[in-house]
Amino acid sequence: MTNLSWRAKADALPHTFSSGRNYRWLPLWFLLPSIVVLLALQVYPTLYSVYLSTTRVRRGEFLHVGLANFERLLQTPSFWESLRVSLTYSLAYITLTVSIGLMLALLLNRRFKFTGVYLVIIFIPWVISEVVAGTMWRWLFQPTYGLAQAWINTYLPFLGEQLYTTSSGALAIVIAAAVWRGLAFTTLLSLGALQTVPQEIIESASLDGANRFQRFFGVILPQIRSTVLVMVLLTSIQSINSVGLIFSITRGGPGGATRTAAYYLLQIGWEQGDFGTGAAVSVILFLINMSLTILYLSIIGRRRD
Amino acid sequence: MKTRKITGFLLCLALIAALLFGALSSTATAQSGALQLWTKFNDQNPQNTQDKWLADVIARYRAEFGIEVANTFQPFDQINAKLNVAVQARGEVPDVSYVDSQQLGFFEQNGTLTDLTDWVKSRPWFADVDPGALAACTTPDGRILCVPAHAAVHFLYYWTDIYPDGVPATTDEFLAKAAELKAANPNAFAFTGKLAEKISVERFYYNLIVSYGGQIADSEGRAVWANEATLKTVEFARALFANGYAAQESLAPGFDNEQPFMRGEAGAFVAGSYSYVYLTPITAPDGTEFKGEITGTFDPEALSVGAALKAGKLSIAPQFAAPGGKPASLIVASGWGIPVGAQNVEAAQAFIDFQMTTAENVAYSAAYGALPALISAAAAEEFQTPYWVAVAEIQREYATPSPTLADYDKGITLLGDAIVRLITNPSLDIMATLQAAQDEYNAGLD
Repeated sequence: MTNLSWRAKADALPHTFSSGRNYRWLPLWFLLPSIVVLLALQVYPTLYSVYLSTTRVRRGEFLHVGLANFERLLQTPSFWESLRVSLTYSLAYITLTVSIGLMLALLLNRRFKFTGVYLVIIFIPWVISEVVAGTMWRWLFQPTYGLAQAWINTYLPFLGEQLYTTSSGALAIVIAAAVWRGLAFTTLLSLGALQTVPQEIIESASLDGANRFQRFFGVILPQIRSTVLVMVLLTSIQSINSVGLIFSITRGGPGGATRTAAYYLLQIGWEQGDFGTGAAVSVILFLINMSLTILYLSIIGRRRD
Repeated sequence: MKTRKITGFLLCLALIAALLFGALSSTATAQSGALQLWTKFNDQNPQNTQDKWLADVIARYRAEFGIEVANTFQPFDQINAKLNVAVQARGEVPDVSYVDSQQLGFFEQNGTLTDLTDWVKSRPWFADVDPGALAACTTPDGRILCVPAHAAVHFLYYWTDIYPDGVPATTDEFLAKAAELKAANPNAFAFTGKLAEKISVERFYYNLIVSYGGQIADSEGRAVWANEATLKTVEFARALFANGYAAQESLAPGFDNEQPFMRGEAGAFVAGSYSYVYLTPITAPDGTEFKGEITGTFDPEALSVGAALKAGKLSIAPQFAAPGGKPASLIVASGWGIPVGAQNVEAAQAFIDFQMTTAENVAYSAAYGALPALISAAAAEEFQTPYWVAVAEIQREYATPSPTLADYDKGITLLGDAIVRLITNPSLDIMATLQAAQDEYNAGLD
């Protein structure tokens, strides 16, 4: 019935727009504002970054250097080190955020008491600004008066007395803070997806003797695979571009141990004023993000086919 | 239908108009007549002596000349970079800006600042400027890119409870004393300070390297820090942390490194002559508390350190020297620069002229915590206290000019990171790590 009424409306359109040819471009006019905004705020800066990546500034003049910035960057050990940190950070962040988010969503999907309250609690870190969250985590792990560090010293001394000022400890703190903050996003997304899984299928699987793990991996996960892939895609991009938390917790330290490629870009382009090399880093990060997007979307597309 | 078409068209027009209005209104703000100033001081929400000084000076300038000054607060570690970004982007640049003299090479390389040579030399205050301070604003080829307001040096603040005979003068003597202190009180630290991130090079490592007879850059701006002097500096730093003589906060980001000293848990603290502004309240190791009239986060009159100095609990000394060597102390000048593209150059010059009067120079330097660039201002009563006399002596005897790195920030970042890696990972080979950082820096130069 509903379909019919929409069809009827659609059929009526050409009659309403009697001089059809004049209205062919009308949708474009409506789209124009968003296209203008996208061109100004997304496409132009991207293209300008590509242009900047082929320049160097000397005495206020932009000199064209071709691909020299990329060549030099690829021979720079600290850039490769930042990519390695990015990879470690991203893998840990994606794995932990998606898996814990999914687990929390499975729990919340059971609809026990105060689900709404738990959801709000989980959501709080997401609405706290990165700088505030980062400062809080920094204070928690202060070597001599940090609350969390004091607990570690008492109950988990094998983790080390100075997590915050050691390379692996600082990276672990940054990852923990990012996961804590990112959980709200994956939990909500997972919960939404879980609620679309028909209860009958799960009940049938139970009747067929499937245990919890079999139900999850054999029935539920295939049903929400697209959402999981989207979550992986978005958390990948989030982690690759992550700067705010790292800035407020460790500033890339100690000794570059938590300096991801995005933070390296901030340092090179912003603090050190090397726009050419900074733009080259941004182009490389853009290509990484694009490749991941294409990969994930093609996987999603294949699954749908 | 005509109505829809017109509505769509008007909506698009409104959006384009809004975008244009936004772009033009920001330009209009910059040209509204007020002198556009960039500083690292917050006159809108004053928290310390520097912020208060700026709020006062803006009011005085308005009262005296009828000219409005619009200050834009920029974070201390971003102001130089942001100024350069504004110039390169041909965006809204201020008429006049605070600049750090150690960034002169960076500004020169990027063409950020206007050449002020002829104008500065024509000013009545030119003859009164301390030559050392002026040199900090002068490029190797003799161009003056900024006007120095004051110069600060780096040294040790120490608790006399811990070091009644003064801080040991050399690194060897200090390590021996630190071992004694640790044995007496395992929870206390002999030392704290900013020993991580790029600032650590300015405050601590560079001074030690120079004292050991080394340098971190050659006259062409290339890095030369992979040398014996840096190696010995790293060995000293490693000893500080390996034995628990230095507080771990020294390796933390930001300024948490001040806390152990402010709580009386660390005996000595390496910092600048300006750092006392932030040391409030402070507690001596024997529990005596010194606090000024605290408003907000900071002590607006910087009375805590003053009171502790007066009580004889606190004192200052040059940094540790290499055994048999002389202490070194990096001297940095704060200056006024006129960026390329400034709209109101004449007004900017008038503001700098105002700043370079003796009275204003005294007020700014005292609020900042540095010795004035004007010789007449340095002779003022404010700088004849025991603290400033001691600071002046350290400056006179041990001042060391900034390293001549062509890419200053990049250089000190790479060196600082390399040293921190060597401290946190004692199995790393010192010379190989320094060499790798040096090669990376030099490879980035044209």
